[in-house]
Amino acid sequence: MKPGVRRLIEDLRGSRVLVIHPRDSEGEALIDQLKRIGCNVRGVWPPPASIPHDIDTVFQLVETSEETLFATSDNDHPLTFVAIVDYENPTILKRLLDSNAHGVVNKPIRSFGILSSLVLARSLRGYTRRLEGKVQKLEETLKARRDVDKAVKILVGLKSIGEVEAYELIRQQATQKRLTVAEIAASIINAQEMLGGLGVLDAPARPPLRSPIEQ
Amino acid sequence: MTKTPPHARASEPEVWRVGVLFSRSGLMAITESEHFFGTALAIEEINRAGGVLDREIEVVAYDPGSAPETYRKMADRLLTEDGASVIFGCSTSAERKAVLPAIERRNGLLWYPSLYEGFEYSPNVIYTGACPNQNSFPLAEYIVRAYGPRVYLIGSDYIYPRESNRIMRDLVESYAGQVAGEHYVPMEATDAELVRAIETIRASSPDVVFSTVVGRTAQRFYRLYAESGFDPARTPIASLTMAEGELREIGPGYCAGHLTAASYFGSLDSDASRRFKIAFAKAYGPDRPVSMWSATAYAQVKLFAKALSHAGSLDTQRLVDAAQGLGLDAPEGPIQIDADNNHVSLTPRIGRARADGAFDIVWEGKGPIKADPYLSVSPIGGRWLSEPAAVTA
Repeated sequence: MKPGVRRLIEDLRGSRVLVIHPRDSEGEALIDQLKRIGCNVRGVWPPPASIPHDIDTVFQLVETSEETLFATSDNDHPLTFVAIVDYENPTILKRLLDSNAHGVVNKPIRSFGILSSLVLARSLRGYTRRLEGKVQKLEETLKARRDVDKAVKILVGLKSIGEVEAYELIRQQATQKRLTVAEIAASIINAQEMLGGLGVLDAPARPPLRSPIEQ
Repeated sequence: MTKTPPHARASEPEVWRVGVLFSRSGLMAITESEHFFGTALAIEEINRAGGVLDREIEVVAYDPGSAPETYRKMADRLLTEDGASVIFGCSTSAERKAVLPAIERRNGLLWYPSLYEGFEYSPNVIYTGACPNQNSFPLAEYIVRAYGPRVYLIGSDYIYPRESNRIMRDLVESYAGQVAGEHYVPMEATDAELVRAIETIRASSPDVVFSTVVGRTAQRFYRLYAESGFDPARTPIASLTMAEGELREIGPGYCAGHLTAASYFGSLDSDASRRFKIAFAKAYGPDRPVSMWSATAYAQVKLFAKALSHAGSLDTQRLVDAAQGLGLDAPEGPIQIDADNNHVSLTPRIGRARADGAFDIVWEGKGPIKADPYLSVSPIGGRWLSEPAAVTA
């Protein structure tokens, strides 16, 4: 836990923060406190059309107007987003949820609380990214599983062999061609669809078995 | 707001009323009494010299008895009933944190003279004590190089020791040292608890002990440490708070060899330090030692008076504006309030306790360094000791 805290703090030193807030005393108070914390920070108002690519963290005032867009994050440019709110009525709360913020600071802005919000937001952002990565990997694995099942059934139908044998054939092909089992499976499915569409193959010898993971 | 001529005095009192909140009793009685004496001496000197802008400073002082909750109540009373928006006070972080909501809500100004663990900024506080980059940083390098790599961390169980030890652990490891153990005792630990702690220390055979035990518990800890056979000259306790007044309470004979990192020691031989010592002895007698506690409390009142003479008002915003950037030739040397963070730049020093209760200054920085409360620019593991006055241990 301790190295983690230290990393989080050290991490702030290199962070590049954009404060999207009117240039008034509160905006300045926020920028000054972020500088004290050791962040590299600059302010901008009104909200820019896009976030400069060197920025990794954005503090943005949540406005009532639905026209103002929030800074968005994508895989190429991941952003930590901290919302600044001045009211807590449902209109603003809805905007807060729309913003997909990782953290929030309240107006009037005080020096206390900025560091906690920032550290928590960055930590949450990192955690979310790791989870997103994991979900993506799991989705790929799941899709591969489905494809392999489907390819096995195609081979079982075409060659009248058992499922174990069919799987073994796919695996051997994968080894020979230096591809993944999933890639071989996908080619078999493609080929079957293509040839079937051309009438080269008869309808499958047997109707495909329903696998529990098939929809 | 009605328009008044800039120097209309009619509605204002004929004195500058300020509050003083230092504990004369309880756990922190020794160190905070020294804060109190330093504060009182500076105010007396200012008033004797005619006050600030021809008005005397009037003091409302309370003794919060080292209880944070009492600090909060008394700060509220000072700010509301007594009409004192400027408060000199608090020593521990728990006390300061207790006062902060009151002082921020009522827009007062706290002058806080103690070292602390950093990671704070309030527009309603001027921090005149040291931050970790001004005491722990050089101390860590010094103890590892002069005494050895195995450092044991012991502290009272509250925020200052926990955070100071977290920083110390990083520092020690950055100098290729290692933490031999880490242990916390209650604020008012019993002798039995302290003896048990000392036995745990013995079992891990460290080269040096870094202690953030505070108040009279620290005084008993130091005495028990010597009584249980540790030789402070060989295995010293290094601290950020153990000053001359407490050594005197413990018995200096028990303490020769222990280390303290501070920006002021009574043995500092400079004109400003001598002037301070003479004035202090004249006010309180020759037997009461000066220390970082009285010197910083004294210096911050002088800074306040300077700021007040510029601002001409006790209004918090105007006072803070006037205070930012102000410098002073303090007993410890030149100090200056940093406009960016309301902390003070000062010269770090390391003292080694002598049998007569004073400190030999075994290392000092070349000059004042800026406070870095969020450790945003201070590299962990930086070199301090290459400077000329280095290591004589």
